[in-house]
Amino acid sequence: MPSKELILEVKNFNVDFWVEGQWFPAAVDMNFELAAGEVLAIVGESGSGKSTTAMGLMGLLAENANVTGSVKVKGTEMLHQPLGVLRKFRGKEVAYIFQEPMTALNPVYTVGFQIVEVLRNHFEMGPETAKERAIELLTLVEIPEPELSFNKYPHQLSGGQRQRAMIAQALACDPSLLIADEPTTALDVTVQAEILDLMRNLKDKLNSAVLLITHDMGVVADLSDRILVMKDGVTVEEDTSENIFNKPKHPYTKSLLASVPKLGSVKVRELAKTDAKAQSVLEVTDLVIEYPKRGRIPAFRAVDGVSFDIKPGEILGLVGESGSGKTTVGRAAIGLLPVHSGSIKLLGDEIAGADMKKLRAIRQHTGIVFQDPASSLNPRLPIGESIGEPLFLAKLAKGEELDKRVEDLLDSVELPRSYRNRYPHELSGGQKQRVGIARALAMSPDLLIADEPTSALDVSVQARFLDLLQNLQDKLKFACLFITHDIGVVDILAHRIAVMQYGKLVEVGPRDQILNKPTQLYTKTLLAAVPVPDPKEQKKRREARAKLLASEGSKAVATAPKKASAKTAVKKASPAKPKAPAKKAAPAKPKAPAKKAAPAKPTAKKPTPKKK
Amino acid sequence: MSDSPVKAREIETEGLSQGKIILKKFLQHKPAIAGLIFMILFTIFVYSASGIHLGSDQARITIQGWWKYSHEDLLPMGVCASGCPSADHPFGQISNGRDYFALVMRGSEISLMVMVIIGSLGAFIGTVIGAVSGFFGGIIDAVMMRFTDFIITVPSILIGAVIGHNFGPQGVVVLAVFLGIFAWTGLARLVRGEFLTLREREFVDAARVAGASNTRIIFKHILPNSVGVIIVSTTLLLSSSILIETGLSFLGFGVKAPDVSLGLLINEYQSQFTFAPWLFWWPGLILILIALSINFIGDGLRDAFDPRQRRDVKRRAMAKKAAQQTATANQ
Repeated sequence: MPSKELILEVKNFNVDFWVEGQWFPAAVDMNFELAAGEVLAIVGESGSGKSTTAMGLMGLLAENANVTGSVKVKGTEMLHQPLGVLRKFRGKEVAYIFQEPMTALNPVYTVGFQIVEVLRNHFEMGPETAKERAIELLTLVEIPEPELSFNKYPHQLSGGQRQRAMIAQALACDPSLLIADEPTTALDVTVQAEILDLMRNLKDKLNSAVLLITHDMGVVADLSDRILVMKDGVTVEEDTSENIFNKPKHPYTKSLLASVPKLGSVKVRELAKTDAKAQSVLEVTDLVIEYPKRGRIPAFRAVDGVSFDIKPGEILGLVGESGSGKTTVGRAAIGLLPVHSGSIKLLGDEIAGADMKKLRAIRQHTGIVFQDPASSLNPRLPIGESIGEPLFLAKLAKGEELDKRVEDLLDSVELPRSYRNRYPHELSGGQKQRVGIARALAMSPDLLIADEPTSALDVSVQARFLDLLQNLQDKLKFACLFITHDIGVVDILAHRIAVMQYGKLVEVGPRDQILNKPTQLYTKTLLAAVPVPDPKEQKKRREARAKLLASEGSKAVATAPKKASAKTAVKKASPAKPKAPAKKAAPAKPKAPAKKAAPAKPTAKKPTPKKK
Repeated sequence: MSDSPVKAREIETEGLSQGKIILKKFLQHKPAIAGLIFMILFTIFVYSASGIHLGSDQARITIQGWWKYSHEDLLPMGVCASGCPSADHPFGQISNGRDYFALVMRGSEISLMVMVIIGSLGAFIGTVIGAVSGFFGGIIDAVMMRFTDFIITVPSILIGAVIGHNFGPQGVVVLAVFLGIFAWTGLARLVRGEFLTLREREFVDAARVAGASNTRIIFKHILPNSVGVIIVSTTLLLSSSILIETGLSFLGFGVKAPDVSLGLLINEYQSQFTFAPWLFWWPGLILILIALSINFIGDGLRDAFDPRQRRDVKRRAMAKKAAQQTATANQ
């Protein structure tokens, strides 16, 4: 890009919040600038003030915020300007991509309407022209069948498509500054990789500056040119991407980098010597689970013919994208969901079809850690009582003895004993998840089911949590079904890995084999999509992934509906709009139809993997 | 020195159950405790003043109170010819000479009884039906909610009229019980709604995995989470029960002369507000005090159940923080 026009200049930027009679600093003395075509990433844990900074730049903060300093967009001061002035910039010069596309898009309007709205706000445009332009934008962000999608409501699109629609809306007026607030946090790895690809292409094409806010070092390595690390509202370190990753100066940056799980960086953990013939703790055979039909919605088969087993003391990582049925398997394994057919045996006892009484007996050998620590603890129950409940109900301990067991459990998850009378909302996310583990371990279970226990946690908190889980497992030797969408996490913990897609088991095998020599295409795509926190390495991986997708795409195109490619071809031919000549080129990419087809059904035709 | 760490450990490791924490927090809620004390003292005062009168006209159990006049006594007019308050009749007299203090005490007694019976019956039935309906869902829910709809279509005035007509002689207790049996519908719907959302939360699954029975999940896990809704609508139910009773009495189905209730007294004497204001003010004041203390008690209960309500502690923490901030600023 030839032009190095300065788009954003931030000087002495401070944000304070007025909370119950006091000023709390949320961002302190921020200074940074951003040129056209450049990506600046603001990295930090939740609560570090990175989102506040981004919102503060355009005056989107609540009234109890005091913003001082200077923010200039293309030389124009943004702070303390009348709304009329700001409105001309918002959407047109500065655009936002929000974290949660479901809540950022208005559910009662079609996607197309929402894009047209932005366009007609800023340009004198007839409804017809605006619609054409909107469809063009939807094509640009590679939404399948843009003409049809124009009239779709947000709930009719998948998460990735919604995020694409959000991006289309943000790009509607060719903004010179794009602020992306955790644009991929709510998405699966493969979808995340696609969105990152898309953002990189668009940035190069439109030459806009991007302010990327994220806690994911992998995403940062993938996209950013420069990085600004924030902690507690203060800029800790600012440097080029390469320097931050290779020569981090500040200890906080180092610890942040160290806590990111890296694929293949850990040695496989020795599986405690177990008898190969020992009885499996969990044995799942041909499991089928259906959600029954409701009204006109037909029955949905969430899990289809899944078989695996877990030996004593073994951790099995169950990996898959959202909607792959992995959580369903976990919940069924503890008897929370009815089984349609097949069998689940826990220590030889059949769970499928067991009655309440029998289930209660079986459940004494299991524990489960739920995904969302905020929802899985009763908000009105002090945590000590939550932890002790399984013991109390199993009539194993009472009164003082129960007290003592609760204390021991709190000790084992490294929480202070004084916390026992606290309510869940008084704890942080990581602490709540520790309580969740303590409760799951209360009965000294033979099998622990961990359902995405780290997905709601920050990286550094996640690292500590995984350490704890590992130590506990070493000590207590329980078997564990670890469900996650993050392959990096499984990599640290699991002895064996199972990969699920669309309710079917794609591949099961020892960790090293799955990570290094995956046999199934889907596993390969999944692995290739994981961003690695190292810019050089990530570049290599990106190219490898493109190659993989291309080879896969050529196969998939043959089966993909012809319509899609035909439509993109039509779009390609349509006359260029004066507003955005650069964008016209996008749909012409030969990659587009292939990519569209790729995430849809790359392995649908593959036979289910053979059982061991 | 040697025993201090041990002591500290004892203090920090003392485990409190949910019930204990709730009780502790309720006792710390000053307005609620004030309301509760007022209600208890006032109830004792009222009942001891006018005595206890139970049963029908035929078989009446009566225990005389300490007040020298009964609400049925027709007395000669006292010092004040217009019936204004005097030493002998502290609340004054009404036109036919009855002592107004005795009347107000008797009215308070009846109103309190009606309120407590309708309120507790309505709250209990409503909570149980709503909880069961919302928790189990499916057919149970459908049947129970259609039954609720049916009850809602029957106007309470009609029920009161029928019961008042048939059971009137048995006294106001029977009437209150029947009204209570029909007063739970609104509460049941609200509780059902709460349960529908709460039962999907993961902590319910967690409790089930821990081995909790349905009864335990309903009463120990979900109910405390919906206490806010239950208390708010029960408070409303209590105040509306006074209105229902007044309305029925006005139509001649509820409390019958020479018996009185607070609502009836207010209704009767609001027209005399200009020349005998005490006849309006005394029952009105008592009604307001009752309503206020019930509201305070409700607030206290709700705050005690809701762990997020910790105003005092928070304020103290804020003050501490402010002190720290100024200290660092001075440095």
